[in-house]
Amino acid sequence: MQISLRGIHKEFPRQAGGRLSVLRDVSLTVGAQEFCCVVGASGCGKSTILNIVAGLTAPDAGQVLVDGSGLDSSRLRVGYVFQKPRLLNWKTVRDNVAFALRAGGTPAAEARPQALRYLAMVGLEQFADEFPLALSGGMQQRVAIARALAIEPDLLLMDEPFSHLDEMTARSLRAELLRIWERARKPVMFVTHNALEAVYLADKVLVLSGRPATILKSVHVELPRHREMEDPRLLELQREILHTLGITASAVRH
Amino acid sequence: MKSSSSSIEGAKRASVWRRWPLLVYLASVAAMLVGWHAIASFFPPSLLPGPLPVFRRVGEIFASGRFAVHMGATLLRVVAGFVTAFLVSIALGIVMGTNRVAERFFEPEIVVGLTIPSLAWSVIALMWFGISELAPIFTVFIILQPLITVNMVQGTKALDQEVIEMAKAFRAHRGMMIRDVVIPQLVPYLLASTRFGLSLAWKVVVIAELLGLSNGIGYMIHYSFGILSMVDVFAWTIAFTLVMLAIEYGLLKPLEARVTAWRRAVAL
Repeated sequence: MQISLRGIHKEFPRQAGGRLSVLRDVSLTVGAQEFCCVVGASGCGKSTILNIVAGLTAPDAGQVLVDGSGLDSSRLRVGYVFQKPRLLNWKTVRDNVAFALRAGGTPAAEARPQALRYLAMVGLEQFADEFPLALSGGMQQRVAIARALAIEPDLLLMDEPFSHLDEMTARSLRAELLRIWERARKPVMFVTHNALEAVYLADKVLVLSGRPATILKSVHVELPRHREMEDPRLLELQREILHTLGITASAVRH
Repeated sequence: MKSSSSSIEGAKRASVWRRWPLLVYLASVAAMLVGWHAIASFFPPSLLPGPLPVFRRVGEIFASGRFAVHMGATLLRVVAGFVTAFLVSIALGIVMGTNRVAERFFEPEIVVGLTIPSLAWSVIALMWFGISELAPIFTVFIILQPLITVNMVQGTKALDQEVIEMAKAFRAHRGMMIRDVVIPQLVPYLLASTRFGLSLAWKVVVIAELLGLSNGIGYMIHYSFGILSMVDVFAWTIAFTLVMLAIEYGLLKPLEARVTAWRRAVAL
């Protein structure tokens, strides 16, 4: 399944009156098996793009196309991983995953065993009956990833999912995400402000300008997977992206 | 050396109270009873009877079968009024908490409702409905509804919008949204409403019983006043209080422990 955005505009009313233009003429395409990263400064409207694709926010202009045809994107099956885990703390880990399955129409009797399979995929099956608050931040985010994968989504949306974690945990989760994604091969839209993370993960990196956001550049990462974060070719691509964002090489080093 | 060993003993003594919370409760009750007994010894029993004669009378009331009759009548009015107020308030509170127009529309009703005293409502209800069960139940309902609604509006406004957005992204339908996402977050507000709702309901219902009904705890307190028996006034009041304590510790506390177990999860 291929997802395209065509000429998306979005404004939000300001508290003080007037309107804040967030997205201006954003067009992009995520291929059927493509891992696409969207890089931009914090607060530039990256999350708004994901919310529009998920059908949570309506664009003021433009449309979301699925396989080239206009479709009510609120009917797309999206697996959404947010910046924070956003778990239901009053449900066990297993029931959190099962909640997403039931919401997607899976009967309750099938949802629980299926939830366990996806928890095993992120290495958490022995924590299935714990409450989320008993888990570390990294483990909670893995539950959120299992929840997004469990519904077998048409499209995976990830909104800076590792930005709240320490670098060690983030690194192992990035590798784990790629390992799982290579088996499922679903289209992914992964939003981040971390250019190195983007080039490590993506087939294609879209660079967004500051508000109102528009796409400045599309960078293809041709390197084969099982990349190393310290690979000089990745660092070169990172520098290119940061340069596009207007950040100079000397600023990167500090 | 000496001071350090005594401070260790001090820590041990403090930890006994920490380790046995029941001991603290028992000590509190014992202190109340001893204080009551001591003060009562200065007064004639017709003014302030001591705990011994009062609890003897409580025992007689329980044994006589009269208690079940009057207690049943009062409890039925309390529960019927509370439950209707509770259900209406949950629905109204959620609507007011999520819709600005509804909030403004119902706000004057709440303010007026909070202002009118329960005595006024009791008189009005008795004149409207006569000597019937409807009068006390209506009074309890009309007194509790604005209070519980205010509480539910607060609870609705405190809902975690990020979690609701998550549920929308996963296409949770309305039923799941309310049952699995909204209600669990309202639990602390529902429990608080139940606590003050029940205790206020009983204070309201005895007024209606005293004014115009021919059974119930309020009627018996009034009757005891009529025969000028202070022991009976105390005994009926305490008998009902014991039932309310049983509801709190036998029903509400265990329920609360069950539905909030997830908060006590220990982080790794």
